[in-house]
Amino acid sequence: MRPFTPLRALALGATPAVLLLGGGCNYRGAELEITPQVVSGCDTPAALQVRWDVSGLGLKYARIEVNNVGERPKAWMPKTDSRGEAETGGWAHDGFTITVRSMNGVVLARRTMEATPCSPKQTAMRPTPTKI
Amino acid sequence: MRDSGHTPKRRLLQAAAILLTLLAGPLLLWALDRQALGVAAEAYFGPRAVVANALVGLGALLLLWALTRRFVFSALLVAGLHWLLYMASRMKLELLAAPVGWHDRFFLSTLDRSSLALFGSYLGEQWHLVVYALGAVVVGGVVFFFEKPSFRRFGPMQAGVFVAGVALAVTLYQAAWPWTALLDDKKVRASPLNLSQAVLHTGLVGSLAHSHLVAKSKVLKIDEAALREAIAAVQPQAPAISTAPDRLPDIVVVLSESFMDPRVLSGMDQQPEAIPNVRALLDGGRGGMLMVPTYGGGTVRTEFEVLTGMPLAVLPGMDYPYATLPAKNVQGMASVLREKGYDTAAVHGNAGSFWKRRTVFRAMGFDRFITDAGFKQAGGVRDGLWYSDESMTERILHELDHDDRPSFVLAISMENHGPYDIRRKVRDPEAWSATPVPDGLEGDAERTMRNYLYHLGNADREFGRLVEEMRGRGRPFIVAFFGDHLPAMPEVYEPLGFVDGGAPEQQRVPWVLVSSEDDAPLQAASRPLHSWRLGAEVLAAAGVEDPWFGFVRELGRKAEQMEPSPEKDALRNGLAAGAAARLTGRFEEFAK
Repeated sequence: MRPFTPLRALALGATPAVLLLGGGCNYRGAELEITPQVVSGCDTPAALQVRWDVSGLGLKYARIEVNNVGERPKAWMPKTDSRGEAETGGWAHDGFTITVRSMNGVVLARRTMEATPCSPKQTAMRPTPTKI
Repeated sequence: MRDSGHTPKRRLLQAAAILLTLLAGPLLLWALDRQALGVAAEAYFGPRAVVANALVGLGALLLLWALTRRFVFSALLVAGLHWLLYMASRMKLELLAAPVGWHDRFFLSTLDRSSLALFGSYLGEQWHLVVYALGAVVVGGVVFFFEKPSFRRFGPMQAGVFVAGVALAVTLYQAAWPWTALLDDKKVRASPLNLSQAVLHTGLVGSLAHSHLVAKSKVLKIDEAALREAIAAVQPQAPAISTAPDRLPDIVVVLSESFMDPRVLSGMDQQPEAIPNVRALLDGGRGGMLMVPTYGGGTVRTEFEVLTGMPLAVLPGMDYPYATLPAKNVQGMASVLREKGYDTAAVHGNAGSFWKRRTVFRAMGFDRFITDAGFKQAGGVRDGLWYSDESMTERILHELDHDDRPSFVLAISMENHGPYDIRRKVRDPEAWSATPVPDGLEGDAERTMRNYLYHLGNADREFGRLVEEMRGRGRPFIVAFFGDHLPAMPEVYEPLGFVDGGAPEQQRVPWVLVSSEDDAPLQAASRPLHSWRLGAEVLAAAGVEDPWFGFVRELGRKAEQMEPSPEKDALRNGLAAGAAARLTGRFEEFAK
């Protein structure tokens, strides 16, 4: 038997962990798309088109949650068909996340909207954000 | 025979494994970061963000590796510390809707019995954490014992690794390259209103390093032109009431922990009145709603604004001002009143070291600071987890009694501090059981709300008693009473919802002001008031003149009438310049 070598153990342990976590935690066969995926910060809060399909996992229903970054997820669709399409309201700020879960709470897929910075020129056209 | 570990092949394998770990580590950390923030793994994934988030850990790893000569041990220790940080941040995010911030390091630097008790109360009886910690120590010890040193002592390899680690640490401390390039403001896009934004763009550890860079490069600049313009625009005047020195009223300011109007929650208007004393004053125009700069915690943020008249929004890099203030002379209500001949005292039934209050209160001009030790000595009693508001009232009255000078007492309550979801030993179990809770709350949410409302009722009752006792003393007085923020009770807010449809952090808290000389409705009560304006309004009601608070009062009153406009922005810039001047002791130069 080979002696215990901590370095080999670390390297062997890190590789599958990276593959597991870095893989996006989405189940193979679970699809989730948001459109647009990236918006201009000047156009937030935005409305998104959402398409999901987790029927490939043999599920009949799914639960869809939404949240802006830092907020608790709220049930957007507490129980919906395993595939479908819908449009959100104009709630999405930078980091807005949509999560599809199975009815027993397992995360099947997750997508996050990104926002590009709102340029100073565009900012000048927006209402003054004075808060005093 | 065991491998000596020095054959070329062995060295090559070792180097490959270290390289693999150094490459995999940042990716793993990024994945952990996205998971803790609750966003998709690919959100803002890119070389800059991943490296920026991992560089602090890399520096720590190199230093530890150089010192111990054990790579695996060092990597595991650094990974463990990161894991702890992320777990703490995830917990804080769930409770307070904000991740761990750079200011939170002050909890560690002032770690003592009281802060451990506070954290412990949130953790509850999670003994498995102790088991994990012991397990981690055992694993660390085993790895340290078995792992062979990577290089010989005092050799070039050890020196090289050490120099690299020190270089990263020193450049970070000095806010220099490569940190400034990786954590450029435009890339991090931090928001003072939402700590999660910086974490989203650059990772939790990257955002903490960025906050350090911001604090390090912060310089208080006085925009003299803006300040002169604002002073000219608002023309500060003496308060309408000007009190003769021998008739100055006693002033008591009560910051009531997590005090809110339950009726901001849907359905609570159908419940029996929970805060009758405060409600009567609100209905009589003797108070209104306060806009505070924090939610669920961070009492010192509201406290600082009320006591100094300075909005944190105009003081960049001072998220938690008690921690970052130049703590020699912090002018505010206490120093102003002390100069007018007041005896000044602060009362708080928790440790004085918490949030560095003992040091800062001394710098603010408080003569005495009565803390949990004083409560204990005087036979104070707890109700639930913390010293009761009843005991706090006793301490306030005691502080008012022992001097023939007018008194200023600041009281910061503890009784209704969280956590709210655990079973607690209350003084009046019958009242606790009889506390009505709205339908729709079950289990933890119901217990949370019942705990909260029970202590809220006590806070209101003690406020009423304090006012009655002060009326009985026959001296002129002012009592101001306000909540510092909404309590962190997401499990209650989610099912009930707020009447205005807003988020918890957007809600306001009540403030009221009682004067022995006047019960007419207050002008300041007509609109929601920023907490930085409250101190100025209290001093005005007491007839106490001061150039800074006069400026703040008039500027606030003028700004609240204005729509967003360049003129309003000019007032804001003037206020920012005024705060900088005040902090550097130069405001009077301009006020003249």
